[in-house]
Amino acid sequence: MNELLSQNKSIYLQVSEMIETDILRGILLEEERVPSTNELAKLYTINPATAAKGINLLVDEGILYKKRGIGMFVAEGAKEHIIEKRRDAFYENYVKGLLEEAKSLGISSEQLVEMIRAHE
Amino acid sequence: MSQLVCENISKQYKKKVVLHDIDLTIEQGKIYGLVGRNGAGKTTLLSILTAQNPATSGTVTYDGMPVWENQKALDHLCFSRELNTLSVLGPNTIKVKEYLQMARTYYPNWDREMEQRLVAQFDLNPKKKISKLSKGMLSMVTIVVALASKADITILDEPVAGLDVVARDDFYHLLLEEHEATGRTFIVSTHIIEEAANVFEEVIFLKDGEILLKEDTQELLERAAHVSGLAEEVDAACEGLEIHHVEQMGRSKGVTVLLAPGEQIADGYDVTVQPVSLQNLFVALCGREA
Amino acid sequence: MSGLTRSLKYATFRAGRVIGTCFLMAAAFVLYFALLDGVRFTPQNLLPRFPYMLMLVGNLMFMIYGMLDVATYTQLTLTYGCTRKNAALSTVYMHLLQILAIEVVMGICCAVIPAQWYAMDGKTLCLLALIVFLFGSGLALIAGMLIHRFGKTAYIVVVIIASLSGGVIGGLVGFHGGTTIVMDIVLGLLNLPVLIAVGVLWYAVAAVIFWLTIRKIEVRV
Repeated sequence: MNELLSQNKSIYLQVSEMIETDILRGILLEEERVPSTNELAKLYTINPATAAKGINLLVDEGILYKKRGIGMFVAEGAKEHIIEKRRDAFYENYVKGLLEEAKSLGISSEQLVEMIRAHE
Repeated sequence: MSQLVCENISKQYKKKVVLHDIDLTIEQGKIYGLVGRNGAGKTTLLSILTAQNPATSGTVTYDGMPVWENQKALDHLCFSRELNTLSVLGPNTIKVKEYLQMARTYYPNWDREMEQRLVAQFDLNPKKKISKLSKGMLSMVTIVVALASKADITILDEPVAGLDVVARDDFYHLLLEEHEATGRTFIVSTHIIEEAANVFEEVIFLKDGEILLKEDTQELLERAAHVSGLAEEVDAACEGLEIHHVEQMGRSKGVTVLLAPGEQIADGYDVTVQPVSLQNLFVALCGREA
Repeated sequence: MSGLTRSLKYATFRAGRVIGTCFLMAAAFVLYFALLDGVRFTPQNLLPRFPYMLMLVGNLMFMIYGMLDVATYTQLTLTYGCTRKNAALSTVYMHLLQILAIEVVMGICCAVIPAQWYAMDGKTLCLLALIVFLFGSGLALIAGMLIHRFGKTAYIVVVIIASLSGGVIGGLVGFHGGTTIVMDIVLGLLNLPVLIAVGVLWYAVAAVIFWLTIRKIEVRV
């Protein structure tokens, strides 16, 4: 959660991604309470409505759930869910850009595969 | 739900039109940012909203009650103006403690404890004359007045002017804390947009006495983008979109677009699309045409 | 607390400050003139001067400070959520409170201090002071608004008027604490009840002008 906000992406998306990353890294455990909207707002100096939007995004996806009167908690299976989701987005987020840049530099697919193999 | 509503507000000084037919609704519980260039009419608008100055035409109501000369409405409002080190007759020799005493007497919900806490936190010397204060200290006095007034709708005019980075950060934290604790409405006018953008739930752009837009800050940023590349490609990608602030250099072109709901930048063109910060967007919308 | 109560509360504080200053300055002048008078610090030479000095200082304070108060504090209260009506009412209340306080003390002085120590009849002195005060306070209301409108020029004009009238009153009451000639001439020329009526009317007119102006002024602080 203690990452810094950047200007390159919607703030609420950044908030939700940070929480996801913390879940992936085991900083936030399943069935554990996550910081409240107001705590997040103060931490990042952002409007609580924006923080709430980030949290609600995760609630809608079933990664967080609400315990009435207590707060937001990490759902069971949230980690698996996030891994799955990020795998799905992996092509869009990473591969596509890689291919585009490779194309404009004239690097062929074979050469790319070779590079990846060599790295291993 | 308490609302501050202004309808058809116009303000004219002699022949100069400062505000032109402004409609604005301020809803309870939000933090608004009011952004505009110098002379756009920000202070005039804010002083009319709080009945400190009369409008040439139009009405302002709080909870349906007219605000002008209405103590019942005024008791819910606080417009903490920028302090001036000069009075009509020279240096402003009124002391900080007099300003605070006046505020304490007049604001019905004044929080004495908070006043003292903030004065200590800001290290303000109440015995100092206003004319002897630095710019940052002047801002601090206005912040103390605004926060301790506990008014339902509290307006701050340039509260961070002259404050250093740390003090500005402290201010935004104070603001968020107070907002969380009480749900008060705040309107903050500022020139330092970037660092405040995330604090504002809604942002209001004022240009030449008119409201250019009033929108949820994050939604506004989501529908704004900067598109750049080969001029023809950029033109093709942005065909039919709302375009601002065109910059061209040889074959290269950059534009700021504002997408209407459902619109998007056309796919398949070799252009760079980047998110736009609130400050970039403000310059694009309110700056001089390049 | 209603808006008017709050305004009156603050006006009482402002009046208190002015009244206190008047007493201190009058006392200082008494000592000063007694010094000039050959260092004669006898009750006979000190006490009777006090009400005269109150009239002199009151005239200056009500005019100059009163004008500054209208141009600064009265306007500032408008930025603290005070209605224009309450700002006007409380300023007038402040003036009347100031006049009343000084008059009461002058009256007590005249009643307590033996009459033969005085150059003139105590009642006349108090009434004369009332006229001076009403004139000065009324001038302050109008001048305060003029300053708002025209800035420093109005201020300078009023300061000149204040120092002239201060000089006249000072001349009347200062060195010649023991002579009645000048005062007699003044009173011989003018009729006191008529003067009081003019004073009251002047202040009333000034208050109306003040109200009509403050109703619409632009706050500039």
